[in-house]
Amino acid sequence: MNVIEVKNLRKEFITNKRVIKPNGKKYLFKRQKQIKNAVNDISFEVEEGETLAFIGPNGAGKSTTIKMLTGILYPTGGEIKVLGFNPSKERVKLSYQIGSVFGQKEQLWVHLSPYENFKFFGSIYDIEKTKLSERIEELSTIFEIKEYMHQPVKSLSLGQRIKCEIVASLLHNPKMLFFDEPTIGLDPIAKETLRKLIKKINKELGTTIFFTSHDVGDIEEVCKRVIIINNGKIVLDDSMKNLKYHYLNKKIVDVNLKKNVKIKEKDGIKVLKAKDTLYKIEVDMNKTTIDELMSLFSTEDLQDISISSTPLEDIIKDIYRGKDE
Amino acid sequence: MNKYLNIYATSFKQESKTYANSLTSVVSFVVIIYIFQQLWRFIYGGNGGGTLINGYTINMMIWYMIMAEVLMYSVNARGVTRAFGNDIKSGKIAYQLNKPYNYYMYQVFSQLGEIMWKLVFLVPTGIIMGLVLLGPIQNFSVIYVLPLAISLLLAVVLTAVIYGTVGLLTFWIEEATPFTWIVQKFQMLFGLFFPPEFFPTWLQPIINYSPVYAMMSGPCKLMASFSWDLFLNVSISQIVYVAFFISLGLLIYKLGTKKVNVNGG
Repeated sequence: MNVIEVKNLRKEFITNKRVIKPNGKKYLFKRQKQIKNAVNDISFEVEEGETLAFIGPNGAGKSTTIKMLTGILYPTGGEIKVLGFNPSKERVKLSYQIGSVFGQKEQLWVHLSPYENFKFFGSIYDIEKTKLSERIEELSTIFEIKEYMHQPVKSLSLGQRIKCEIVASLLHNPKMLFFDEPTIGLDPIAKETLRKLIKKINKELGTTIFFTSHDVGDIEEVCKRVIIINNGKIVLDDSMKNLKYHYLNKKIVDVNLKKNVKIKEKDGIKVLKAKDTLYKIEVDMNKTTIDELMSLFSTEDLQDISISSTPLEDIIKDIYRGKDE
Repeated sequence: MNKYLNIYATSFKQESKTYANSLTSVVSFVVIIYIFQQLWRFIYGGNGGGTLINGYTINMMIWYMIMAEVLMYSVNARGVTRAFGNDIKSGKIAYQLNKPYNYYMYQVFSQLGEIMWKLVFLVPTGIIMGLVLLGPIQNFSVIYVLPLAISLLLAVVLTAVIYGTVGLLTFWIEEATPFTWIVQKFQMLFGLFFPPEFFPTWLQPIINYSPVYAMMSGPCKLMASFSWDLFLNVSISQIVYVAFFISLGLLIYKLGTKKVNVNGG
């Protein structure tokens, strides 16, 4: 079952810019209307229980899309259905079915304890007292926050606070959870813990995860599907498995030879860097093999060799830049 | 409505954790009351005796001033405007909009929680100062406590709603606090410093029908000299203005949310 259905979605932002005179100065009152297509005719669907990474560079249109999905912004054109609701017309009804965690925007009352905050959010989402107590008990066990659940939020570490933010967003048992850079500012251990918890929410509670992050580690570990948006258009919509299979086919081979050798480039083999006897070579495994590369120099000349995959981060950067071919 | 009362209660609880700040504010309140009562004593001449200025004895004038200072100190005008404005400017409002409540009403009740916490300190301090400096109010009866409390509450609700509505202007302009400054100066000039009777006859009806009367002069006059007719008159004015400004705020909020993308989108 699809929980999100987006068809030909568009969002235009209209701004008025002062017109420049021939002498380079600006007119005081004369304005020119400028239309920016923040989201330009995108379509996609998300199935129940999916973990989707919705990523793109700054200004790509991802934030605008999320705001339209949650009913905060009105689309200029196209159709959106989230959990069967039209977000811009049924925002309040939809809000009972979705949750959101924003790494940079806190929703908890900082002078109060997480427990007091949970009771507050329970009342906001009209949760019965007994059900709320059960839910707090369940989630505090899953997230292991009992130890500091009665301390003021302001005294918690960032990692502990984010865990409590997620619990607050899950109290009303949302069918979908929107994460916007939840791991920002966290140390590697806290990041790892959080990623595991998000996967746990998806697996144990069946919550659909809609994930935005600039941290490739988050996306790689948490999400099974990736949508990359750039300049308001979807440039890639694929499973993480396919992305890795198709785009991680390039290997980086670092070779250290005993003497200086001229390595000839050929189809699938590209010398990225050559300095003295050190070579950095990119090998496209779809076109050639490592054996082929090895044949370009004598193994007797070989001092050291290391083979690594292109980091996913570089691949995503290339896709952002439009070098996805 | 229940969830808005919970917002109010949670905000009150949150504010109660910052009691050290509240105590600092009370010290400043005490100093101001003392300075102003000295000033009025000077104006009235010596201990005031039976002097009447525009129908006010010195005792009435100082009780008026105590109530006015309670109202000024309980609602931090710029703070209320900024509470609304900062969310709009920073884009945080976008993340509040996907909650099952009306953001405008959320902020109003949240601000009321803070205000009520301040009143917990300010009202007893004001009463004690008045009793110490002046003694009991003449012809005061215990049955006036409830209507006075109602009038005080309606006044703070109205003041918070007005400054909150000013804060919503941030949807269109970068900084709304200059407007707060202007409104606050009207509130001070026509309400805090002098009762309406101190102004020219032609100006008095304008003041008496203005929001300043409902948010400041009206409840202060009740404190200085209570009458049921005056209470009725002030309450009607307060209820009408609260309803008007809440409706206006909701309308501005509705129009403003369509502009969320411009600021902080």
